[in-house]
Amino acid sequence: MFATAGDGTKIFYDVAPGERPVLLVHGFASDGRRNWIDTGWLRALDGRGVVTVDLRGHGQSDKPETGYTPGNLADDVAAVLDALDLSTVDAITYSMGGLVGWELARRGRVRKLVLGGNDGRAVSKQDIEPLDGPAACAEGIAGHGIDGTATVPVLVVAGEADEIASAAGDFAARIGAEFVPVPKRNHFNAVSSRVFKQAAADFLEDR
Amino acid sequence: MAEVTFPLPDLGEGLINATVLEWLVAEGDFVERNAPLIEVETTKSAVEIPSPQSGRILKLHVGESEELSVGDPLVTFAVDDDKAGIVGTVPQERKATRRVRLTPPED
Repeated sequence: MFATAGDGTKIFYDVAPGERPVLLVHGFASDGRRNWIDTGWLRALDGRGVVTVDLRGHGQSDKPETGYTPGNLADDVAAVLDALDLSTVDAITYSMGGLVGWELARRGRVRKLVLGGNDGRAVSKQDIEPLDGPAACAEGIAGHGIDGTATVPVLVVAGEADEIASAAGDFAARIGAEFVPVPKRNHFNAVSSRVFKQAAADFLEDR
Repeated sequence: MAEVTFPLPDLGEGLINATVLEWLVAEGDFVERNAPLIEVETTKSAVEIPSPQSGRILKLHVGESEELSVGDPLVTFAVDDDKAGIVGTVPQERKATRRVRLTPPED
């Protein structure tokens, strides 16, 4: 299904029906299916609804030349939440998706936030260009990090061998979040790990 | 009791090799169909493969960190009989019967 962003961009989203839907926001150069569905997150969140979104420039969404700041991307995801009549959701994000989740939390659209593979540091274009994602998006998010303190409960999860989010533990301490490291995993293979899934599910369910 | 072996399925996107990240089951476990079975990593991403079958795990054919190709044996189950995994009946091949008249009726 598609929601329409403020500038007319079509934003693809998919819904697995269930109670209290969880919003899943993918990272740079990925999409909802590859980041979350192929990696088994629907099974991990069994019983809860799931909303996956393809950020603009990614997956099945339109790929305009502009509109890729974290604020713009959050507008797009807010349009999806509006289309689904969801005022506030729990959100699980990965990497760049964390910038979007953080912004949505600041706007009061997120109840609890999971930041995977993100240590809050601003990314540079050189950091992410090798990932072969949309250039306009690399440009839009370059220089943006996660600043300030958490406005909602936050869980930070990152692979112990994640070079992109190597300071995740310090970042979690700085923003007052819980931190769960994933043994032996890097930025690309921590996503599917059961340590990550279990930590996220426990955090969302207050276990 | 029958043994059923499943190969590494096609992971799409033209990928033919994968490396085992972690088995989510052990030999001797009883696993439900569609429960998490294994995590593998390709050059593009990590993937979790669900169990294609309910049954007891007899053998895991590859170890963690080992590489395998699509079609290589992945896991062997012990199942009640060799039809387990198919729910309901398999439709029989049947010759189509013509239901429309091809020539217009004579007045």
